[in-house]
Amino acid sequence: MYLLRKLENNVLTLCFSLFGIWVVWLSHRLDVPAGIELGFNLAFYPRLLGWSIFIISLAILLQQFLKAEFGDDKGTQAVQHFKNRALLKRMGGSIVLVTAYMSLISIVGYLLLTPIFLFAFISLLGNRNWVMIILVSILLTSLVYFFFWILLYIPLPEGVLVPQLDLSGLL
Amino acid sequence: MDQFLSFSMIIQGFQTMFGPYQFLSTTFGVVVGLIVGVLPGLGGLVAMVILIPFTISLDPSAGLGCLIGVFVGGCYGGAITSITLGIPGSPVAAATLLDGHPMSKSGRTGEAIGLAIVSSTFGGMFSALVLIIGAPLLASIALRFGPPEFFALGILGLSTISSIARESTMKGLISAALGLLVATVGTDVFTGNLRFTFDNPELFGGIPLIATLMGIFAGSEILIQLERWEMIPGAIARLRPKLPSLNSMRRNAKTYIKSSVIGTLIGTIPGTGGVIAAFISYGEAKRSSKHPEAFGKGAEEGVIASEAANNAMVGGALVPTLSLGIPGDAASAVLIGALMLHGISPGPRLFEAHPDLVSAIFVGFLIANLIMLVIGLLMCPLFTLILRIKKAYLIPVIFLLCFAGTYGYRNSMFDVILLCLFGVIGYGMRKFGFPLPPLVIGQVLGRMIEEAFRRSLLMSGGSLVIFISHPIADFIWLLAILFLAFPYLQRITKFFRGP
Repeated sequence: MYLLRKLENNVLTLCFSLFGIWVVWLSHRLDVPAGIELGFNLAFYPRLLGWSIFIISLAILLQQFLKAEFGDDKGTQAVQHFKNRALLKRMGGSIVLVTAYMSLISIVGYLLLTPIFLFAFISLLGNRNWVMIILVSILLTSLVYFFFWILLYIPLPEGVLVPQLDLSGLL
Repeated sequence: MDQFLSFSMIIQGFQTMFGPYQFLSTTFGVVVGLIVGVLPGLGGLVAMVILIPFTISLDPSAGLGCLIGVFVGGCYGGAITSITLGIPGSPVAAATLLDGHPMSKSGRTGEAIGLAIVSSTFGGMFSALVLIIGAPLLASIALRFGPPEFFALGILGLSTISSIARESTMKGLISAALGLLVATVGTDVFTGNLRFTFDNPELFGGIPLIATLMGIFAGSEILIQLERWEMIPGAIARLRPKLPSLNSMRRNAKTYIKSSVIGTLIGTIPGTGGVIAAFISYGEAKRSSKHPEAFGKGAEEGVIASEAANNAMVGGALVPTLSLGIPGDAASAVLIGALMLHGISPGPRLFEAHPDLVSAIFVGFLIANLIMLVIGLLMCPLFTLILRIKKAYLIPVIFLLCFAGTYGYRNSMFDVILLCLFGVIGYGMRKFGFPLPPLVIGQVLGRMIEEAFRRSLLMSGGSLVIFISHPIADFIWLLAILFLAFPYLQRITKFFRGP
């Protein structure tokens, strides 16, 4: 139980120490000709960083495990926190919505998908004023489209289902 | 110094920044900074990050003017929420709350807002003058630096920002090392070989800074805001600012000047930022006041000390940012990032290669402070409405702007995936007490540090002794070690002093 609680509080540090080792391993797989000068060796510098991350993470872990108290119990707090159903619904729902939006936008296109996404996102976050949500969703989509695509020529995903409206001639 | 910035260059800076695009974009930046600063929990940094894509398509002077406007406006905007609601709109306004809110509770809201805006402008203008004089001077010294000095300087920048990390220096160092690692992805500048690209052509040019910035700061903020769903307490009455009288200004002149000096000086130390500047200045104002007992109960000096210092910090932070290419804090790192996205390398050479841009930045900072004074007064009645915006609308807006900005930079969905990935990493790091600014500053400085490191090794034929055989580099190393050892030295001193 003691170890589990300590681990919960240091899970990210543990991940970083493993990441450091992974970087060192990756740097050994880089294509470096033998006998090359150290300045030209593209693997030396990232390897140094990988080792640094690993060693510092280990030092933090050691420091934490040697401490008698649990400090501010960050990990345990986080685990307890995510047992809150409303929070889970809000965060989980948002992640699902964003993932769906990103997966579909290249097919459906920005102009069609964004108002639907915004409508769903704002509703998920607890707003029930439907007229306002519809208005805000359409207005926001149009504003971002106007600023990015028409005013600043910054491209947005066009999609393949419906041909994108070209309003750039308006200005 | 003359070779960098003459009087005529400053005049040219005024001509540039009073151009229609530059002036409008700076004003737009101040307005956005004020609005976002007022919204509790967001702060100017998130606004700067979101606005980067807009600024890329503008002329560099207009784009940077806009970001500086957000930086300046965001610092003051937070004070409105601190004074009226008693919750800091942005972390830098936390010290303003101590006396600003009691003033508001005793019916002196307009007076407190007036004091906040005048002292913010004063602090900003003071630090702008220090910036105009100090940055070229520092850059002229830095021009004598070679690769070993630049390597030491980069490490100094990272070590200061890591050592001042609230939770732990070691966590700060890990964050900085992660940032340096992110910068190694892509094509190696020395050999042209690919590194950590996993045969993905989207990574051949490296991880785009815009995805990291958006993800780490804005993405993680979205997740944090989703988690903390507390509502903004109550509505506030219509705000009418009341400017301080000449008598009040004369009475508090010492506090205005002293706080501006403190803010500017603290700003020049990488990693410190507005929160530390505001609290140190507040503490000093209380210590030297004739009526220290009035502090915390609505003392004018308390509001002045905090607001003058947190805005003066901006100019101070720009000194190492522009002259050495070492960002003083996260917001300065965003400015450096914006410069790099425009294809301009920050550092002492910037003063030689783009003196027109440097003078435009200086003047832009000066103008942004004046615009803030005018707009801040005019917009006051609107702040009541801004504070009514619900989180349910705000979070999707931030996401949409991040999405569009990141996608539009390279027309790439891969960058949006990176944005989400960095958002989750940033959120995890915040939950476990790893500071975020060192990661971003690490990526911003990464190429420069690696180049200086490997160039030094080439110069020495592979001997690491080169890093400690140059006197200036030695001095910088000593400073870096002192900064890193500082938290431990404090603990040792405490231990020997006893409880």
